[in-house]
Order: sequence, then C-alpha cells, then structure tokens
Amino acid sequence: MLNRRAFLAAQSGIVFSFLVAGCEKRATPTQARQQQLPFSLLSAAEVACADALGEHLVVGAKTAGFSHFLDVQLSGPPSRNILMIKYLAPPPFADFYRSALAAIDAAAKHVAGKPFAQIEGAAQLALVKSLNGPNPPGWPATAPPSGFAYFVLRTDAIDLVYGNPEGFARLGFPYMPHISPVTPWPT
Amino acid sequence: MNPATTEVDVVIVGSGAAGSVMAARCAVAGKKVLILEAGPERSNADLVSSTLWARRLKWYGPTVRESGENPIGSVFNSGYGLGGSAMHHYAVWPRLHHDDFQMRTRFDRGLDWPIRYADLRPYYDAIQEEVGIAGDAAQETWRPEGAAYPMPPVPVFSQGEVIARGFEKLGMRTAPLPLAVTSRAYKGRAACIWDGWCDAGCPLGALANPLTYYLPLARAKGTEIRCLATVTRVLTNAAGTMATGVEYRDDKGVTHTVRAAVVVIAAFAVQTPRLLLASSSDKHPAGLGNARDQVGRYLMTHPAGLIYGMFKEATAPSMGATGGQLLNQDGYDKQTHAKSGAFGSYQWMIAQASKPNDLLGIATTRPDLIGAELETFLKKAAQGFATMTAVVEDLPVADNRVTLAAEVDVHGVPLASTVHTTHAASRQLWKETHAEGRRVFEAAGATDVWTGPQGAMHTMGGTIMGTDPRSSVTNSYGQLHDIPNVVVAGPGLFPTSGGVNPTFTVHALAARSAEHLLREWRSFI
Repeated sequence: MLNRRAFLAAQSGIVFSFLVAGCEKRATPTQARQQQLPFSLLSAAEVACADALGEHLVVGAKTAGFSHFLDVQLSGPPSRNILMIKYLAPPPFADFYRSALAAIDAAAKHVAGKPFAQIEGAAQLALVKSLNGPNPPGWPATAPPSGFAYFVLRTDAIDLVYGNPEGFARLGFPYMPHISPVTPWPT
Repeated sequence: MNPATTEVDVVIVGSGAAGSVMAARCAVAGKKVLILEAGPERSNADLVSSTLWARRLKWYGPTVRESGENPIGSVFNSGYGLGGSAMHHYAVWPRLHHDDFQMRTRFDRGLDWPIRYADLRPYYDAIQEEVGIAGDAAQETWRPEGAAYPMPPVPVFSQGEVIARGFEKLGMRTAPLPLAVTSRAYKGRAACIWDGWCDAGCPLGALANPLTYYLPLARAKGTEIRCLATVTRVLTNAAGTMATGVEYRDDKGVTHTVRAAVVVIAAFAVQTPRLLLASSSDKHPAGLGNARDQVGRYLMTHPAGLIYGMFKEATAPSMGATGGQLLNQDGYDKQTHAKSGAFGSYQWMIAQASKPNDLLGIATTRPDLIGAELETFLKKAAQGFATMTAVVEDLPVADNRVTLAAEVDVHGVPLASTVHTTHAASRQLWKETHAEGRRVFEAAGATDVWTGPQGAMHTMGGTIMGTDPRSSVTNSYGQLHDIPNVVVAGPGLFPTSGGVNPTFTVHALAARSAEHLLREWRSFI
C-alpha cells in the first residue's frame, strides 16, 4: 500500500515523496502519473476532471501536476493550505473543491452525457468558458457558484504554472528574489 | 500540575505594528514586558520571495465568519505569527488629515475622534524618524504640517512615469509615495533594491515591519516574546474594576496565567473585540468594555478602486515597491464628489510593482482569459502593464461589526463573526474613483483600460476611541472606559478610516498610548 508522506521539489522540477512498502520513493508529477502513484483525497473521477480542466485554464497545468497540487494541499491541515480558497472562504476546503469538480462533471453530463474529462475538447472549452458566468445548465444548486469555482480553480492553476521562477521566466517577468524559494510552495 | 504564574508589568497580546511599538516603549522605560503571540516565530529567513510562500504570513488562526455585502477579507488582510499583519504590509505611510479627526463636527457625517491632528503630529514625527520614511513632503501639497521625511523619495520607474503623464494631462498632481522603505541606507539598514517582493515580507530590513526595528529594540531591552501562545481571556479582580492579567494556552494545550499591572490588547481589529467579548464574567456579562454594546461596532475596510491598463511602451511592472511609486490626494476633500451622492476622501497609490499570479496578480485582473490567450496577455503585460489603486474612505456604520459566533475554536473560545456592508456614500465614491482612474489612464495613452471589483483593503474599527462611553469603547489612549488598565492598541481604535493606509497612524497612536501609560504608571500599581 502506498502512502504519500511529503511533497517536495527538486531543482529540475517538482518531486513528490511517497512511502512505498515503507521506503521513500520520489517522483516528478509526470512520473507519478505514469506510475499511477496514489492520491490521498481526490478520486479518480476528480483527478480526471481537475487535470482536464486545469489544462484548459492554463497551458501546462496538467503536466505541472495540477491534480497532485490540489490533492496535496487539500490533504494537509487547513492551517498549511496555500490554495486561493484560503483567502476567499472558510475551511473545510476539500468540500469546496470536491463539490466544484462534481458540479463540472454534472454540467458536462447535462450537455453531453459524459463526465467532463470524457467529452470532446471543443465542448470542454465551451463549458469552461461558460463557468465564468451564471451557473450553466445542470449545475447543482448545492455546489458553489460556477463563477466562484472557476475563479478559484483558475487562480490555483495560474499559481502552479506561473507562480515560480520558471513561470516568471516563461512570461518574461524578472524574478529578482531576495531569498529564492527552494520549493514552489511551503512543504 | 499548574504551570507557574508569570508576573510582569505589561502583558501585550499580539506582536504586530501596535504591540511592537507598545513593547519597545515600555521596555525602554524599564518595564518588564511580555508579548504573547498566537502565531509562530518568524525571522527574516522565513521571508521567501514567492507569492505562494508569502501566504504563510497571512491569517490561519481560528476561522472568522464573514457576511454582509462587502466582507472584510480577514484572511488576506490579517497576519499570523511574529510581526502580525505588518509583516506583509506594503509600508505606504501617509498621515491622516485634519478633517479625518472631525467628520461629525465639520460635515455632520461619520464620527469625531477624541483627538485632533495636532495631538498626533508629534508621534507621527517621532515614529517617522525612528523607522525612516522615504518621501518628499514639499511635493505632497495635500499633507498636513509635519517634519520633513528623513530619507529622499523612492525612485520612479517607467510605470510611474507613464501613469504620471496621465495625471499631468488632466491637471492633477503627483508626488513621491511616502514609504516606510529605505531609499538609502538608514540606521544600519540596507537600501531597498526595488524588486517588488514587499508582500512576501522583506528579509533585507529595507521595509519597516516589526522585525526591523521595534521588536528587536523591545527584545534588547528585556522584553520576552512567547509565540504559539493564544490568549483566551482577560482576567479581572473580583469587583471587575481592574484587569489582573490574562490566561493563555500554549501549543500543547496547557493553560497559563500571566499577572500584569497593564494588559495591552493589540490583536488587530477582529481578534481584539473577539477577546474582549469572550472575556465575559459575572461583572461583565456582555464582555469587557461592552456594558453599552459598543465592542465590535464600526468595523471598517477601505474599498479599493483598482485600475489597470496596457501601454505600448515598456513599463517594467515588476520594478519598485508593492505599495507603488507615486501618490495623488487631489480627491482628499470629503466633498469632492458630493454632487453624485459620494462622500469621503480617497487617494491614489500609483504604479504598484506587480507579479503575474496571486490574488492581486496581473492574471487575476482578467478572469475571462484562459489557456493560450491568458499566456499571450501575460507576456504582453510583462512589457506594458500598469496599475494604480484608490484607497477609498469607508464611512463608519454601527451595524458593521464583530460579534461572537456560536462555534468555538480548539480552546473553546467562540469564533469571531463579522458583518460589513459598505456605506452607500462610500460605495458611490468608489465608483467615482473608477471613472477618474479610467480618465487618467486614457490620458496617459493606455491602449486598453479595465477595472477590478471592489476590494477590501485594511481593517479598522471595532473598538473605537471616543469621549463618550455610550458611543465608544476606549478613551483617546486606548484605555477601556470601564477598566483603565486594559489598553487597546491598533487600527481597531479608529473612529473613521480616512482615505489613507492605516499603519503609520497605528504606530503613532501606540506611541501616544505608551507615553500616557508610562506617565500615569502609578495609577496602575
């Protein structure tokens, strides 16, 4: 049985630490996905939805480990959480994300009969754009408003991809740190 | 086994801007001082240049329930840990103006302070010399009288130059933004290198946060600081007429008692009233200082007017300070926009150093953009983005307040519940700033201009000072009307918000309170 213990980063990219049969195993998000390393909180359906959504929101979010980023943050104590939801709503934060991802799947099923990750790319994009407005058809009344869910998830994806020295460089922003972050976010 | 009781002269709840000044002043005067800080220890080494790492500096204490049409944004606006909220503040330090202290008398709006500008001016002058402010008082033609700044103004980078062009074309003035940031080496502190990481905390000590000056001074004079020490109640004598100290829990859940001649509560504008309300007893059934139902009232937050633009020329948007480069207070007259129903003061903080991500990041200004379009926009913004922010006065409303929620924290203390809806006249003033900001950016030659939603910037009120115990919580020194050895410090004392950033005034008020406390010390022992 696999149990993730910590979430670290290396100079060459983000590295996860896992306990595999009592031994530490480290992997980049890409490797983690290839090796099907487990998630602590998100279900397979939630991971699929988050990755598909993240890639539409920010180019490269999926390969940067968007679903792992969410999972690691939501698995820890709220006091250590650095997701954008921290600024905008009280804990428990996992409830917000799980409800939002389920609502996106529900809206996708309403228009295409399938979960979000399984519908065509163009239909995905249209649905993602529609989130930034009134709740789309099929959006559960119990879920957070679609515009709010979109804002939070979009900002998380932006943080993940652009909120580090590599992301700044990709956009042409000088990073100019006093103290360089040794990991993309606190561990 | 009960932990030993600690006995001190002054126990201070909170280590932020107000608490650090109170501690330093009292310790220098020879008092035995203990600071109890609910959050963790911080050092300059913790101040990593990253918007994500910086989130550790924000509030993650007990949840604050927020409601109303314009919630106060307590997590974003509050700090947690040694140095408090001032650890991530932007060090924009203008002074309040004369009119801010006499709103009721002069305009029949808002509230009067129990002091005037002249009462506070000596403390503004003293604090600015100690901490160091960069600016040009002569160019700040709106500024009330006071000593010249001890450091030359901050540099103006291309973003500031571009926006200033718009103000100039409209016949409006700009001046260097007064910043508590070193524009040159100052009293052993290095000069700022203008890299725009103020929000993440300044490990160089160029930006005046509590770790820069007052906490080291307090410690050098013997002040003890205990972190991860959450004060759960203020204790009083049997008659309820004087405080005897506080009770706190450490990180292991052990309860400790501190006996003190004076209790200073400097836990910011939400947690201070929460602690007073939670310290109820048979003599104070509604909470300390709350016999007349005033604790928690007049909670305020500045509506932020956010203006963004794209320019053809290079603006170097990352350069400078997070607070900005230039100031405009042409709109400080309370009645500038009276015809539209607006009332109050505002100022422009011009040309903030900007990062691509975070809640105030450039990407957030265009929530409609995703994917490749977003990346194209951000690459363009790296070259030609510019922004400025209006700090808009929030008129005090009695029903905007902090109360206790039904839920409790891990220590059994009820959570804080806040409600805040912006006064209609303040809301109208915020709208006026959007219109004005657009005109400025268009005059400056922006190829695209857009605005943001109403932001909640700073937190004030909740334990306001006044002369009448029926309508205020403390006197002008922050002493509870009913219990004079409980002293409130911080922006919670503000009866009105003005249209300027509050931290300089927080320092000045704390210095004034400490001086009074020390002068009248015999009455507390």
